[in-house]
Amino acid sequence: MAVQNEAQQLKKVPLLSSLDTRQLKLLAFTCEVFDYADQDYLFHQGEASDCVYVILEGTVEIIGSDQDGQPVLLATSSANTLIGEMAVLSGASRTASVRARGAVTTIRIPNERFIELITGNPQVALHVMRMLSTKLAATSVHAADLQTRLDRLAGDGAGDC
Amino acid sequence: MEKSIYKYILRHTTRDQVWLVLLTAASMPLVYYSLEIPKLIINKAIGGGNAVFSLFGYEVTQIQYLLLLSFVFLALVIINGGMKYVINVYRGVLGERMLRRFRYTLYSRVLRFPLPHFKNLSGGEIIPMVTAETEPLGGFIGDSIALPVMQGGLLITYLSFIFVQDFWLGIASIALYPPQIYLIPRLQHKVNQLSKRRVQNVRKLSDRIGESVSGIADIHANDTGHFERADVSRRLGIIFTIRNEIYRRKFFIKFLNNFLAQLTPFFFYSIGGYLVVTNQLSLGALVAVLAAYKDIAPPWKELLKFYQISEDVKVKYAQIIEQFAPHGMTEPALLEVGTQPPQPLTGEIRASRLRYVEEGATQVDDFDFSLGDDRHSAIFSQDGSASDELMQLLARLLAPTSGSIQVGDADLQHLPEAVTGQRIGYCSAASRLFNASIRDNLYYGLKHQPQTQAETAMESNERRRAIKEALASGNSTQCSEAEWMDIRLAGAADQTEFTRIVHAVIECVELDDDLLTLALRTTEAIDIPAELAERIVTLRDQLIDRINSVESGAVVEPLDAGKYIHNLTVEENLLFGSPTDGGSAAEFLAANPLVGEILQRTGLRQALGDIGLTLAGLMVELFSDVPDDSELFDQFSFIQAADLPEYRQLLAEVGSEGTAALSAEQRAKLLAVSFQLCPARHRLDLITPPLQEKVVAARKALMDALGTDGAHIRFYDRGRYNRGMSVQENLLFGKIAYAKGHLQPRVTEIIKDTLKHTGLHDKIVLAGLNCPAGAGGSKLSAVVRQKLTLARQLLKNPDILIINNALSELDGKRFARILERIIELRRGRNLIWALNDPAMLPKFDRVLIAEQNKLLHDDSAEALAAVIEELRR
Repeated sequence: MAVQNEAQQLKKVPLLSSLDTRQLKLLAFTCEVFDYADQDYLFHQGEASDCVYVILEGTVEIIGSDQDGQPVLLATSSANTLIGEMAVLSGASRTASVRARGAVTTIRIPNERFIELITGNPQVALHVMRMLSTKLAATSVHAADLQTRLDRLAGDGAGDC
Repeated sequence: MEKSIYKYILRHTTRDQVWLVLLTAASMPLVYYSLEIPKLIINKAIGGGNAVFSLFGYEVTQIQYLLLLSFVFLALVIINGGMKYVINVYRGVLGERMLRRFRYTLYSRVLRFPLPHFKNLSGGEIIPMVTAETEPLGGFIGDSIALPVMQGGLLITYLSFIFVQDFWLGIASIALYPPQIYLIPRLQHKVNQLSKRRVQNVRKLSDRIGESVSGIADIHANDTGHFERADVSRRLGIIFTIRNEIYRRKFFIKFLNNFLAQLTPFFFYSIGGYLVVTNQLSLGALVAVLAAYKDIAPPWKELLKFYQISEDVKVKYAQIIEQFAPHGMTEPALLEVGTQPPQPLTGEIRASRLRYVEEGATQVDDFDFSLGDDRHSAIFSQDGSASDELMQLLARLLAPTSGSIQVGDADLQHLPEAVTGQRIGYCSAASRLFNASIRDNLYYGLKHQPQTQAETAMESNERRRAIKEALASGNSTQCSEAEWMDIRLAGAADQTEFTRIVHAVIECVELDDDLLTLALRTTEAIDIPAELAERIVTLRDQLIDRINSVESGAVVEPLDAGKYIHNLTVEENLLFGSPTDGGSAAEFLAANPLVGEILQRTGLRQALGDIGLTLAGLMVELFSDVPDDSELFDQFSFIQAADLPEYRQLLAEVGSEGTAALSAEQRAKLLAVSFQLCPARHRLDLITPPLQEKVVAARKALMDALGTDGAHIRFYDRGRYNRGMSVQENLLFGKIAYAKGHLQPRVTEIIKDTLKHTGLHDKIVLAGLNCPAGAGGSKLSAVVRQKLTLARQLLKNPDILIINNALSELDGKRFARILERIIELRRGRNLIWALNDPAMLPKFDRVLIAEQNKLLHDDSAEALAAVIEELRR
């Protein structure tokens, strides 16, 4: 059964790995699976965030825009990754566009279902917290690094005067 | 309204009541003779010995006499029964007519209530007053005069008989009436008080239930079900306690009555006995008196019962009418139907010393302004206060507390509603949509008087009877089924021009796209003209080609009669069409014996039953922990929450034997489960290719058996429009694949574009007007609802157009576009717009700015430029 396979694949997504098979099967059964053709967009930057996607097959490109509003490739994601979860958690609109590179199959988990998963399963919630903490820590290191460089620049500038 | 129910009854039914009394009186001698004849039969005809009887000068034998009397008796029984029937029907009809009149009067009064009164009044309270609480009044009205007259007459007759026998016995028989007459009203008074309280509490309960129904989402969202239940429990408790108290008192009254009734014979035995013993009264007379007394008891009891009911009904009547006489009701004269269509409402609108006070708070304080009838005015207030009331005052929905509004020479307050309602257009964010089609809602402002002769709407005989009956109850005789719409009010001379105007209005408020989407998607049967349906069919190939050229992959799965369709359910695959009676495929398949036979023959019954079993197992596994009220059940489960235990049991019974161990009913249930499976949607590879072939074969067999003439099923046919499918499905003649669901918006875009190029766009937009709006417009989005209420006013083509913050749901850009268009549309005519976006103010000729309840500025937009600029910051 395809739903069975989908459930097994969802198990490989780190955030969902703590769910039992039955929960994953219910999740797969109650979500839509979409097939995207090459260059089809999953969503565009600035759109309202109404769902998260799990990539079952294929690769997607995550595309942001630079200072002039020109599209710029930020990253790629492939099978068993979760897309768009940050925007759903923060309630913000999409921060980047996501486009299929080649044929892509995704499972679409609507907002409410995703939130239910987190609030109903402590393990999933813990995972989300870890994920956020890791991102926060990385951002802090990055910020500290930037601050140091800024200070150095300011110091250099002062020296010129 | 009449303060007492008797005044109300006499005013409307005096003639009928007299008739009823006469009929009842006329039946009395017949009743008397029907008692007299049996006595004659027994005493004379049977027990009179073998004699010859003389009757009207003729001599008859005993047998002839007996037969004659028996037939007279039979005739009397029939006549008596007939009279009773006539009187009962008369009473019933009289009561029902009065009930109809009463309810109609109440409803008419609701239409005259001043608007602020509705703020403190809920539907939950008013509805039972008009419907349930009036019910006992009907039954009472038929009895109200005839019953006391009749029973009173009987009582007096019997009492006179006793008094003729012996004065003192007469006194004895009525000795206990004075205490009864004294005590019972006092006891009854208390019961009345209680029933008054009961009525009030039941009203509050229904109000509470009404609130729960309208706030159901909030109850779930806040998990306050227990709290609400506790509150309802408390209210039910109060009603129970009151009822309990009523019962105690009511039955005590009954006990007292019975006791007193039994006490009277005591006087007869003692006093009567004494008189007989002392030879002052013959034994025969005493026996006769005792017999007469037996007859007195029922009418007296009836009279007491009637008294109790009449007291109860009096209370109910008084309680109802006090709710229907609020202060400040519209004068009936203003609502009367004029013979002429109302004159245009033109001229300057002048408000002088206009004040409006509601519940002690001054909302509009001393406004003085005048607005030209060809000018556009905007009313702005930062917090929305004053402007809302002011707009309602201008639309004559509220009455000023003091001061006045003049339009030309007329005082707005004294204009008939026919003028204000037809010549003024008013819409606000609170404007309501009715549970009808979008079209009916859009045309609502054009239905003031019936336009066609009523006869065309109904069989004329039936209609004549309906009118006669309506007149007898003082109801409206206008026929709601007639054509009420007057297209001339929209400024159209004929239907073609009207259609053009409707289109212009729809485009003005940007409803066209919404209507098109609704028309494309709705699965409800909307009326598509035959010519349009034909053209839709001709577009099919062209559209699929276009979609396939733009999108890659199988976006649309065509409905090929020779193939299994993966994006349809098993039942849809089997039936391959839609039942002509509008029912579902599942209902048709379950009800048709042919289906069972074909499934059996093709071996599908067993195969699908097994699949049903697998699915039931899967559902029980997946949904066991899902809360019963979860939406997942509705959207995804093949089995409803309540039925899960039954299927769990069924699965336990199956064991190793498979479905063979199950009853026929259980197997039918499993079959029904398998019917709901849609391979592409549910992604369960249960319908194998050989099985698919069998389903297609069964489909063919079913088609052959049912015939393709469309008598039962409209089969999917590439060359024909299918009214069981949505317009979009008809255009595509296929299903958008579930795996391509994300492309739905793009497919819709392609369809819209194609429709525009082929000239079908506008026709389908018009067909979209046939979609139902739902209760309060619930089937439409908030944005569509607001656009529709505005479109309704535009279509009315009013002299004065008042828009009271009516587009609050629209985003800024769309709001600005629509505003510009309406300003253009109303050029040279009046427009008054209350808005809370100061950026729009410069678009108006005249700007009124209010703060709190005062009018701060009233000038041209140019003169107020600085103030507006300040507000925008």
